[in-house]
Amino acid sequence: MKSSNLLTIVAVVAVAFALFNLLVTINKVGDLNSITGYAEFDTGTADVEIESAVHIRFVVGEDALDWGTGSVNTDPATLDSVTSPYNDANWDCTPPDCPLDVGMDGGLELENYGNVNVDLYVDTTENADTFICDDDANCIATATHDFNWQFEDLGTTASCTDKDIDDVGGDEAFWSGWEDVCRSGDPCDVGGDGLFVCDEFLALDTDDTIEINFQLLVPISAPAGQRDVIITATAIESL
Amino acid sequence: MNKKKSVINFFLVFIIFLFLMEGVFSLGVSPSSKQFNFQPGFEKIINYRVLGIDSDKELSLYVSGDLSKYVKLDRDSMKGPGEFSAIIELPDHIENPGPNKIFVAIREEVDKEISTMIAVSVVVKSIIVIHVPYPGKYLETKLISSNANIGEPIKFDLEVISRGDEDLIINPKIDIFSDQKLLETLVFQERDLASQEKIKLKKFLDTSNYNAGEYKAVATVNYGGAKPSIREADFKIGDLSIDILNYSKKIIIDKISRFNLELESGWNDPIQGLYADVSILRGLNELVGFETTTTQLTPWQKKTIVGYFDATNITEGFYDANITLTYYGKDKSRTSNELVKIEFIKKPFNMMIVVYILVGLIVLVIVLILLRKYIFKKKK
Repeated sequence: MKSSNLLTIVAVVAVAFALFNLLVTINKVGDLNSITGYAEFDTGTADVEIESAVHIRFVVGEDALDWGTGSVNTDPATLDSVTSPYNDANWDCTPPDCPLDVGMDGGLELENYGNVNVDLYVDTTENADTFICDDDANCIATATHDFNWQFEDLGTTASCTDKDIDDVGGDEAFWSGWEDVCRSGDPCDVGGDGLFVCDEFLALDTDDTIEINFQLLVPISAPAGQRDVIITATAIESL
Repeated sequence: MNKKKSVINFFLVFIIFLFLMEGVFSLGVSPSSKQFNFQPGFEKIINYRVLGIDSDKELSLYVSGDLSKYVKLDRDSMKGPGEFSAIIELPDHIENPGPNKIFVAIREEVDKEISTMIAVSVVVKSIIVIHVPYPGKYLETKLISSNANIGEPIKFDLEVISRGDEDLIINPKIDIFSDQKLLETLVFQERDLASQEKIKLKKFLDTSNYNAGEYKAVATVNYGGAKPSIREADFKIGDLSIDILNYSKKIIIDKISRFNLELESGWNDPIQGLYADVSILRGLNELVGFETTTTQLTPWQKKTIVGYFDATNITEGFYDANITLTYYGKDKSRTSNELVKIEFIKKPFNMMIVVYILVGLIVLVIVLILLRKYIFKKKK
């Protein structure tokens, strides 16, 4: 066979092969959605589940519930954490020891820091008889004494969406005025968790904080000395 | 010195200064809840994570609730953030049908060595719900709807759970109402639902033929029970509009006066650059014009905007005021006008001042009469 013929055959085979290859390539390119990385839709989805967490925190300011130093001159003296100057005329104090001078800064702020709404309960370890009168029978029987709290919603709209716990009608009284604190074990205590304060305490950035304020009515006959009280907040996811 | 004065002068010193620890007292637990369908001899280990607590804080762990005797914790105390486990081992039979709740509690212990009169403490509880089947057929449903603007679809999520011990065949539908008038029904296909099975269904409502407004969706699921399961959800269809809810109807003359305008967005997206141009008219002529502050509204938000103007040259009486609102939503701008009536009044006379003066005069006269009587008597 002449070399030129051989060369021609080789060239034809090469061109045929190249044409075949071209056809295969064109076919593959036309089926673009089978190529890795080609997005058939312009949106993708990713599945991720964020674990739920119930998380609350007390934010206690430097001067929260700080009434300074003073004494009772007339029965009873009233101290509270809401209305400046935070004491009445029956409370005797000398600047710079009065509540306004020491920078009295309201009550306890409680924030829902988790990512679920919660049912909120609050209780104390003491009530008026034990905290103010130190269980003294004479003080309890004869003196005007009280240990009250009230709750304030600090949300932009409302941090607590259901303040009507017993569904009788209207928000519970402790959301608008002073009520006796709830000591653990007293009738107000729900299942050992304390007073049911809020059914649906929200976890939104703008609506997740409430404040607990306190009022003390202190009689002259109240025994002197230090008393301790623990305020406990309990949170359970609202299901 | 009389007895009363000596009592008042007698001090029983009761020094009260409340020490309260400053700072952040925080506690969290994850997961916040878990739910399981009861099966005889059910066993499960749940791992919990305690968070948001200082590393030196003591914590106590405990279980309470309906079935707490069937749950054990791998420890009953810990310090600082960390993990623990709850082991659930249920019996072959539980008496109470329905949701039985177990609480896994973490309590922050108060440091008794630190002297403080008021201390705070936090308790968080994670719930474990064991769903024990009711006898026979029992269905739970939940309906969630979204809001949208005209032309955008409204999505309905319908969650259906069989809580009985019998398998079911369900036929769900969603009726759309406006002012109690049925507009449309979205029908789902018939499905089998096994005992304790949960499914999530969805449907979309085409709102292109709907007007802006408030609507109600009613989901009805027939399952062969005594009554169908019915759930309702309200939803809104919006358009780029703002309603004037209220405005200052009475303005005091002879001073710089404040004008309040309460507005509500009827749009399911944010509205930007909203302000009002107010023109107070005498006949067809503008007496005074002013602009309010510029603001934005979130979807469906109500807000009050304020403007100030000089009312010193205005006389008493009723005037027309033209309120023009200008605002932007997505890539559209809109203006709207409303003509309202405003009354300009003089500063009202405070009747209480007269009452106080009269009472004061009467008291003074009585005091003078009494004084005169006793002085006169004494002299005699």
